[in-house]
Amino acid sequence: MRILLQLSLLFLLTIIGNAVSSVLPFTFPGTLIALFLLLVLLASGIIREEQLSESASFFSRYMALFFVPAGVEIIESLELLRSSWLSIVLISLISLFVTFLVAAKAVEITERLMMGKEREE
Amino acid sequence: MRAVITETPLFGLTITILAYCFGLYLSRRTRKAVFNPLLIAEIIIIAVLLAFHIPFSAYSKGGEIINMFLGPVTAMLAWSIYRERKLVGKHIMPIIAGTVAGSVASIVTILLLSRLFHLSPELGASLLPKSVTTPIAIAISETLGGTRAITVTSLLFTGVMGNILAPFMISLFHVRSRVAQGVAIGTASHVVGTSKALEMGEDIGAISGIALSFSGISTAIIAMLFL
Repeated sequence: MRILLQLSLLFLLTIIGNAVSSVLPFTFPGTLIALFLLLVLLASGIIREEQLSESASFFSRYMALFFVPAGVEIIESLELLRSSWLSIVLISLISLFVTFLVAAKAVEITERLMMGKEREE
Repeated sequence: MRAVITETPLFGLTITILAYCFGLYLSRRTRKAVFNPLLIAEIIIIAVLLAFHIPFSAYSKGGEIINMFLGPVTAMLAWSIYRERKLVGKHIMPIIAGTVAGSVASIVTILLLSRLFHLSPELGASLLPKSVTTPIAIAISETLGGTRAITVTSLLFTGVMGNILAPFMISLFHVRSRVAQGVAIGTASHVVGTSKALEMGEDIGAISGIALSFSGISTAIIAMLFL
């Protein structure tokens, strides 16, 4: 019954998240609202970490399974893919390098600034 | 008889789970990033659908049921963040700085390149969230009017390339800090890259896992504010 309750809680949070998202004046994914709600429940101690451990380890272990159908949908856009695969590949590669560089350097600069501050204190 | 087999939601469910299990088996045997279980599963299912002329609508009866779990899977990321709260707390400023800067860089690069290559707005919206974790990327793509299949395809490609190229990019850009290595891998190449980070060290893997959740959240917020 534990797992059933865990699943029901996750489903319920998703439903609430989507409901909240539909009345927001701006567009924001409901599943992320569900993520924040769960984070609040955990941080406030209403739900304890181990009360979710079974379904959490199942979902993180087989996470990619849940993305398969969304990917198979590409079969409906093969024309689009055929005409623009080169731009998709180029954009993906260039943005991979740029994102990696910027993220890494932002961390290193922040770490250096914080270390400098500690030394001053 | 053919309709009896393919017109039930059980068809889509069964073929998805079996193809994924085969993908898992292959990736565990070979330990190569190219044999990504998600990629293998997709190729197998698409090949079966095309070979037996099964319409996508028949497959998606079962596929939709699996799709439905994307919400709960995303919500569960909160559990992973919470579980790593000590590590998050220790490096909170660098992690936030890295993921936010990385998300902005990713969005700006894709917007500029989409314009340069004269892509349709729909295609641009599909590519925009391609660096972040799949469930969040699909949600952002749908909110912006993109095609989620294109999002998943470009995201997979980015993840696999990130997985393969991570050590090369680390030496190319002289990234010495281990926190920076983890954040960069997670922000640029989500969970597929993170599996490489885990091979490089448990600490880098954990940081990469946190970074992928954080960059997903910050990309969604940036997309909400400016697009």
